[in-house]
Amino acid sequence: MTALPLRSAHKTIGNQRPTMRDVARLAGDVHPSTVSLALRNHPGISEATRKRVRLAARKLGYRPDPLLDAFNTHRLEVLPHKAPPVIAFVADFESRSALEKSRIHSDIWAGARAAAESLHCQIELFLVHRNQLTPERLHSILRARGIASLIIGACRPCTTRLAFEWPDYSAVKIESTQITAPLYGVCVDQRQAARLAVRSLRELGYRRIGLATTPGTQPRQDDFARAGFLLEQQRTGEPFFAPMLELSDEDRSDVMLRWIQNNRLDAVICDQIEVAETLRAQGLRVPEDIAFAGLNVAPNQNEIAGITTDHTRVGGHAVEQVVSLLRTNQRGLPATAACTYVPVNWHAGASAVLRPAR
Amino acid sequence: MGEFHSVELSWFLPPVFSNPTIKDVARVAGVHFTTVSMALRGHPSIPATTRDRIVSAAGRIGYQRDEIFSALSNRRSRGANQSFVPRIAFISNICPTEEFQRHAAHRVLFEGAQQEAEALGYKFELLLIGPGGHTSATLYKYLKKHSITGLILGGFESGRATLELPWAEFSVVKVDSRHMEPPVAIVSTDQFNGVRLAIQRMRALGYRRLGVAVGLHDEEGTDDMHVSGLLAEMPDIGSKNWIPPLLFPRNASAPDVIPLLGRWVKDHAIDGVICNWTSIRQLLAEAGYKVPSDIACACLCLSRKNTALAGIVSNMGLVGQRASTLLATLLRSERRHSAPLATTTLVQGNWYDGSSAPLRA
Repeated sequence: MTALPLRSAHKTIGNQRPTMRDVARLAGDVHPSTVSLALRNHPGISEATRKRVRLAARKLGYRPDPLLDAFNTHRLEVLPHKAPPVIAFVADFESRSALEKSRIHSDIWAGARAAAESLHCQIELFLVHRNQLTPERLHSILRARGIASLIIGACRPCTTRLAFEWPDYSAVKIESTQITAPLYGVCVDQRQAARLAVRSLRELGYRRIGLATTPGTQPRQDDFARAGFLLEQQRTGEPFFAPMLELSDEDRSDVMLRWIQNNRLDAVICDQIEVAETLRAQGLRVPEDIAFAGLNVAPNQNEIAGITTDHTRVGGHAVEQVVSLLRTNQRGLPATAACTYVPVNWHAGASAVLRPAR
Repeated sequence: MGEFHSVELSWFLPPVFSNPTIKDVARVAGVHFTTVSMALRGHPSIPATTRDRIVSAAGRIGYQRDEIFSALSNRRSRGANQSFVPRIAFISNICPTEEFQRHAAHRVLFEGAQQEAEALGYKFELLLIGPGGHTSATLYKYLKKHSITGLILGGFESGRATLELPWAEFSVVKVDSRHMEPPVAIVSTDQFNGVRLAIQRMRALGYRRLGVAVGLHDEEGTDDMHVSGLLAEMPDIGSKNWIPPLLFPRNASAPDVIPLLGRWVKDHAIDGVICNWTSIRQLLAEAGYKVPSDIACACLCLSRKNTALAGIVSNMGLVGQRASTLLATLLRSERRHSAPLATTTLVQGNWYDGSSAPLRA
C-alpha cells in the first residue's frame, strides 16, 4: 500500500484540515507554492490569480496556521538560514567611522542590527553622500542585489531628496521628517520630551522656563517640542508664560543672554546641549543663575540634566516594522502614513538641581 | 587493539553535525530514519538493543528532539480539523452590543482588527464589559477557560466601566485607552496631525477665527493630542486670532454642550468650529447658528467621506489592522510582559471638503 491512497482515504472521511495543495487544486491547478505566494500578496503573482486563490482558500476554509508560524520562528532560531532577506540601512554619512562617532546614529544602527539578528534578517549599511553613493547608484545596486527592504536611517536636514523608486520597496524611515514621502516612520517622541522636561524642572522648583531651539533640528520635530512645551505651560494654573526662542547659528550667545534677561528666566530647555557652555561663556552660572535641561542628553553625562532616549529602540522598531511589511509583501508608499513614537526618560544632572526655597 | 583504536577514534572524532537531524542519527546508527523516530519515542516494535544503540548515537552527535515540533506535528497529524484555533479578544467598554454597533468608529476599528487577525489565522471575538456585559472577574474567567492570551483593548472610553486583569498573563495592545492600565503599546488615530491639518485647510478656505472644541474625555484619552495640535499651529494662527479650546465636560450630552458651544462661539466671534463630535453641525444649529451661512464647521473623526460635513476621515480600519499586526508579533514571540516605556503608533487621516465649510468669498 502506498502512502497516497491512504491519505485520500483519510480525506473521504472529510475531517482533514484543508492544505495548500487542496487550495491549489481548486484554484485551477496552480502550484502549491503559488498559493503560498498569493496568500501573502506577493507582487510576482498576478492580481487575478491572487483573487482566484483567495476565493478557493475561503471556499475550503483554508487558513494559515499561527502555531505553525510560531514554530517557523522558533525553527529559524535553531537552524541557520540559507539566504536570509537583506535589509538596506541607508544613512547620509561620509564614512562608517563618522556614523560610529555620532552617539545617536551609532545607537540607532546598533539597535537595528540587534533586531535584525533576532528576526533572522541580514542588515547592511549603505552610505548616501557626495563622497559615497548617489541615491540613483544605490538604487541600481539594491535592484541588482534583489534587496527590497529599506530603512531610511535618520537623515540630516540637508538630505531632502532620495530618488527611490518607492513602489519597489518595503520602506520605513527613522525621523527624517524633511523627507516628504509618506512612509511608515519611527521617531523619538519630542512632544513628550518637552513635556517631561517642563514638568521635571517645575518639580525642582523652577517657574520661569523658556524653550530655545536651534536650526539643524528638523522642521517638524521642533513643532512637536514646542507643542509639548506650550501644553505644559498652559497647565500650570499660573498666568500663561511660555517664551520660545529660535536660535540661528551666528547670534547664539548675546541674543540668548538678552532673551533670558528680558524674560527673567530661571531655566532654559534646549535641543543642543552645547548651549549650556554658551551660557557659561556669557558669565552665567549654571544652575545658580540659570538652570539648563537638554532635550538630547547622553545617559552618562552627569553634569547635564535633561531628556535621554534609548536610540537602540528606535533602530529596533524600524527593523521590526520593515520585517512585518516584508512578511505581508507590502511595498511602495502606504495610502496613509503612520508613525511610531518612542518614549523618553528624564535624567537628573548638575545643570538643574533642587532649588532652595526662597 | 586495532579495533579498540577505531572505537576510541569514533568517540573522539564524531562526525561534525552543526544541527543534527533525525537522518544524521539514522546514518550513524545504520538504520532507517523512521526507526530513529520510533526508537526515540520508545515504540514497542523496536528491540531494546536497537533502541539503546540509537539513543547513544543521538547523544553522541547531539541530536535532541524538538519539543515544539513534536507538539506541532502531533497536533497536525491528528488529521482532524483544527480543534484549537488561537483566539484574539477585542475588548471594549461600550456595552451592550447594540450600543457598540451604533458607534461607527468603534465598529470600523473592530472590523479592521478582525480582518487582519483572521488573515493571520486567529479567531477573533468581541467581548464587552459594563452593564449587561462582563465584569473584570467574569471576563478573566472566560479568557482563562478559552485559553485566550492575546487582547486588544479597543478604545476604552473614560467614564465607563474599567478593566482589571493580571496583565502579566496576557499579550496586550491598546487602541487609545491611555487613561487605563496596562502601560503597553498603543495604536491611535493621529489627532495631533488631524487638528493641524484641519486648521490648515480651514485657513486655506478663508476662515480666520477658528475654535477647537473636543470632549474632555477624548482629550484625556488621547494624551492631550487635540490641544497639542492646536498649540503647534499657534505661530501660524497668531495671538490676535488665538481662541482657547472648548473642552466639553465628561459624559456631557447634546443639551449640556449646546449652551456652552453657543457662548464660546459668541464670546470669541468664531467663524469656524473644528470638533470631534460628528453632530457638530446639528449642535451649532441648535445653538442658533446656521451652517455654513453664519459659521463653518468641520469634524475631526468622520468614519467616511461626508458631503454635508467637511473634516478628517480617520482611518480606524487601519488602526485596527496595525493593532492586530502588533499583537500577532507579540504572540508569535510569546512576549507577555509589557515594556516599561511603550511606544505609540499614530495613523493619519485624510481631509475632505464638505458643504459645512465652503470656500469663503
